[in-house]
Amino acid sequence: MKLLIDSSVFISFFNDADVFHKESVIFFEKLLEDKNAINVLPILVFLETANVLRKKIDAFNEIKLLDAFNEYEKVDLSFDSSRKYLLLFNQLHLRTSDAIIAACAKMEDAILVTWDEKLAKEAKKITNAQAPLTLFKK
Amino acid sequence: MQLQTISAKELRNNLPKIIELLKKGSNFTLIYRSKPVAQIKSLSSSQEGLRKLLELGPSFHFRSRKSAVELIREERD
Repeated sequence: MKLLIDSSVFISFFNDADVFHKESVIFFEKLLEDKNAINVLPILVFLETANVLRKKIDAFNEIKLLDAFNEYEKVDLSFDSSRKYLLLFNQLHLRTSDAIIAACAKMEDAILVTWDEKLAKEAKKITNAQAPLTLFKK
Repeated sequence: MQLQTISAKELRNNLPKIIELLKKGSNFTLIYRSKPVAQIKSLSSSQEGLRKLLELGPSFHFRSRKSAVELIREERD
């Protein structure tokens, strides 16, 4: 199972006051038990997550976050693949960052995991997109 | 995480041994013509990333009452 986890899930995990915080923690704990799970990560998700945490957390340590995220499989975002991304953008009514996330999931044949219903709904036009805990429901 | 370098020739000649090391969690930087060209990562790398993430945890004071989705929408809209 290949997963592209959206920034909303990471931010929710780090904010214990977030409405989905408990679910996000459970999601990551369950994912840890799944030896077949492969997380793919576009640099955009790391930068976006780090940027939000930097603004909202005192003494935020981006090196530790980078250390954790560096273990994930990186998604190729290069000029060589940009034409393929633009073709996918044609099928989506999303702003650029959202479109990149959805297109990355499609390109990697990964499930997009997000708390953002609007993004998930639109991304489903080209790829599998789900809320975190629905992955573990049969 | 173990990170070792390996040449293309070493990879060819020792594939079964390399696969065993990968299964045990080793990761490699592949060297071709004296330059690093790729990383060969164990599938357990994702698990290692999750372990590190869970260790980081929500151990800080988060200065916002907005939800994660709202914060991300602010960044993207």
